[in-house]
Amino acid sequence: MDDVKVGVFLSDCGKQLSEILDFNALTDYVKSVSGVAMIGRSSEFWRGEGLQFIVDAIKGGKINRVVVAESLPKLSEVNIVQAVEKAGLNPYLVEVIDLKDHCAWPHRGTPSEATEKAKAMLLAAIERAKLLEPIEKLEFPALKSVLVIGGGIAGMQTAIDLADLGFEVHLVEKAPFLGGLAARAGRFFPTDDCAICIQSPASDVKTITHTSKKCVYRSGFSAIPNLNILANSKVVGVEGVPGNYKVTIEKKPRYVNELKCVRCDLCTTVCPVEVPDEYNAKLKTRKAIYMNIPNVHPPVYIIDESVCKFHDCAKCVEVCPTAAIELDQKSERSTMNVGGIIVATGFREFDSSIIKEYHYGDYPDVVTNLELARMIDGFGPTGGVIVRPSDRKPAKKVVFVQCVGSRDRRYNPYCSSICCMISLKHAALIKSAYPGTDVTICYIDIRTPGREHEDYYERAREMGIKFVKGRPTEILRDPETNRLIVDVEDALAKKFLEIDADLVVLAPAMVPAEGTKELAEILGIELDKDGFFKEYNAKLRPTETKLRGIYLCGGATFPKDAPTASLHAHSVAIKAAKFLITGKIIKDQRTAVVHEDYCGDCEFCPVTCPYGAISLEPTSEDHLVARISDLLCEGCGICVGTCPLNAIELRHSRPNQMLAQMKALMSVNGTSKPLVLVICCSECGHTAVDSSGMAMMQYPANVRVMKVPCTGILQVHQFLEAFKAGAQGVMVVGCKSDGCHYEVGSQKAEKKVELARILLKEYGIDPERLKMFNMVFIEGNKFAEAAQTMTERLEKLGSLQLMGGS
Amino acid sequence: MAQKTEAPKKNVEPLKMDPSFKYEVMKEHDGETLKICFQCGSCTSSCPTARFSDSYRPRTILRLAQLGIRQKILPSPTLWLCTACFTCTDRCPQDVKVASVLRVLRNLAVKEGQTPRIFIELASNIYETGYAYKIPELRQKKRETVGLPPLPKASLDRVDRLLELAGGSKLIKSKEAQ
Repeated sequence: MDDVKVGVFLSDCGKQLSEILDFNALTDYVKSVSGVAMIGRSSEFWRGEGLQFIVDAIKGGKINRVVVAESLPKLSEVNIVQAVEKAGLNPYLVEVIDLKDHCAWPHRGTPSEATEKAKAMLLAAIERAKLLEPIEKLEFPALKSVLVIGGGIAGMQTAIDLADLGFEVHLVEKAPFLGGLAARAGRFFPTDDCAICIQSPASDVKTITHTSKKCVYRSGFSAIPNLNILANSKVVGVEGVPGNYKVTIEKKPRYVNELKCVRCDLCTTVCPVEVPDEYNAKLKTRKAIYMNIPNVHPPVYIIDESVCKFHDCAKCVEVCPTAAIELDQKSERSTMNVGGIIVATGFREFDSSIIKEYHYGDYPDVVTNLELARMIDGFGPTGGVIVRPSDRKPAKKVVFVQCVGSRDRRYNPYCSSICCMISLKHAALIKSAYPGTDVTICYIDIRTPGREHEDYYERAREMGIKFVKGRPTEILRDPETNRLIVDVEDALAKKFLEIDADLVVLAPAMVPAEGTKELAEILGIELDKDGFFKEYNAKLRPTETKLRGIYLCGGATFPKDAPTASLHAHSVAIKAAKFLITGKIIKDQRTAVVHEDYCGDCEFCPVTCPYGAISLEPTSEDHLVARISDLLCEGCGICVGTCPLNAIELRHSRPNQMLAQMKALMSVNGTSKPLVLVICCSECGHTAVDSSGMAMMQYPANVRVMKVPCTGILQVHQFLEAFKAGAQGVMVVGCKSDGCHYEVGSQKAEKKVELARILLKEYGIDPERLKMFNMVFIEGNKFAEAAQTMTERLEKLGSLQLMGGS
Repeated sequence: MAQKTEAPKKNVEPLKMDPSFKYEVMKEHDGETLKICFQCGSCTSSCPTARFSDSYRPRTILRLAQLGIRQKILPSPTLWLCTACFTCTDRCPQDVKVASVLRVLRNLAVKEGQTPRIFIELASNIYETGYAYKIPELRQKKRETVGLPPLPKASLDRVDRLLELAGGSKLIKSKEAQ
């Protein structure tokens, strides 16, 4: 390797800084540091002439390491790094520090002390720069194909979007027919049109126009050549890495050949087996060979294997004109390779029979909203008539019960968010079709946020629908008349009501779809406390998971109405496309690297890695070593902090780099106060320090800040090294423990700090000298306060004496 | 033309709220669940007593407690109508220990000397005889005549000690003061 030649560039931010810091003293100091080949000074170095100056120095071969002291490095660093890369130097040989927000401004009251701190900061940056190593960009192949799991309204729309963008899309649906929960809902709010509408694809199918929407069966989406629809199938295995997953799909037998069936309906006419139709709330029966509703997709019958007599009967086989019925079909497993996976598994209704006092499943006239939706649907079992299931007579008095199993700490503590609107929609549909019906809604709170949603509430009141504020305690049945009585206190009138009802409609909580947990395990992604798929970040990355290449949309993350599910579906398509569209994934090698010669068989790092990036592989000497996947590794260093043998390092944050930085920061004091080393994570922790500086909050100049990728990288011995290097106190500043950018890093750091404090006590050092803090950007005041408090505490404790140390 | 003079309207005094009252309740065991109540009324509609009373509404009592309107709760005799069947607690969707919150409120009422006379009567009976009801001399004799053994005598020392520990003696003293 060439000799290290560091260029140091000091920006005085238009003299703002030179009024506080003695720049002449700083330049003199930097000149004296070995390895420094060049010093520049300007009002700014992150753009214009200043940046050109750096570029020229690199091109002229004068320097091969760059240290820039610039304000707001989080913003300016990108520019500097890009320019450096263009000039032909590896962009990871650059170190940018902030003399304004980390030094001049917070210490403006003590300019000479601030200047001394600036020296230490510059020295630390130079020492680190000298040890930096070039980091290469890696390229991984990305298949332009996507697996969409779930063929409801969200899954179908995202599948169409991606297929239109040219991706090969596999849409897997567990049920025999597409449409999901949405197709059963009959009608949607706020458009009041049919539920099976989806956006029509912009494909070249001749019969399709570009009007806003088309129903599933008219949309022609099944004709998109690069969209492969796999109904009656489920995902049973996923292997591989982002960009190239190998997915195993199990297709359950349909017993009807999809290519041969002509939907002539002869089979259902001859089938002798008749069972209650679950899809239609058991309000009608269906045959063992059936279709849910006439306009389903795929437009092919299916045989219900739990009731069909197969070869003992085979009447349908005899009658089928195209020999489409194949009673000997078996489950088939197939594998496919995809670049990305989108989970759109949706949600389902909570099983209301668990709440005994509502007698769902016990009294036939107690139904759920979804079952009522089937009655309202003209295609449904009653042809749109609202009846009492017990005797099929029209229901004249209907009572809705809201929050069944939701907002209930015993079952689901959350508000399912869409049930109020569903009940309002249903109540209005009933009232407008049958104005003589007496409709009452028992609620705890009516929640109608969203465009045009409050209109439903208003319209319901105008139509004469009654609202009772109270959660019914029980649904009773008069044994003689079979009529139901809803027992409730109206909180507003403070009166007991016994509401007479022909039909009671429960609005159950919406809970994660069946099989959510198993799928999460197959994919290696997490669920939230309510059992829904957990997004990477609810605020900014609502469709991503912690794993690149695996995405979420629709009700899989939380119950959603159709407009929100659509929004989510179109949004996830862009995310997945962005990731795969170039056919390659470019990622730099800011990753962990294993010293295979001292890695030894333990299994700590694969377990702690939040990204599943570490595997154990046998070496020739018959022992296991950790292997890091450069594609999966996010470069946090949690494995480094875990390894008991120091066998893992991060390429961009090696232990020797950290140690050199630590020593340099502690080498110049310049104050009478005890030196404090602050170890910050590069995410929330470091920005909290930034923000305290930006707001000119004051804390003493003995507080020195060092940045690590994530506090999870820290090892216990590093705290001891800090004390040995001259720190009188150490502060560790990480993200909030539930908001760590690397999932568990700050939790791990907390444990390490606890451990180190025990050790310190053993060594006779007051454990209060080491403390962990969790901060976010806006908590600059908290940082300034903590720094001040730590300094005062250390002053009280007196100076720390270590053997052979300071 | 004679002018009509209207009598000046008397304003209704708004209820005074004591923000600290809720915390007094929450200090006691299970009292802390008061804060979670969102007034769905499951307690009231499941309450067997409320069904036969125009004034007893557990939900309303909890509401008044949350708002800190102590003057409407503690002196009210309805507070004592709870039969402790715990249906409200069982059916509360928010895990509010409704029956227990009412118990805490009754205890606070006792501390303030707001106990209905009948309960003081019962307590002093226990204090004096070990029985909640005084057994008339006549009945003792009757037992003797029909050949039943005499009722066992309570260990008044122990009753005394128990009442002392539970704070019952104070209650009885307050009665004596009356």
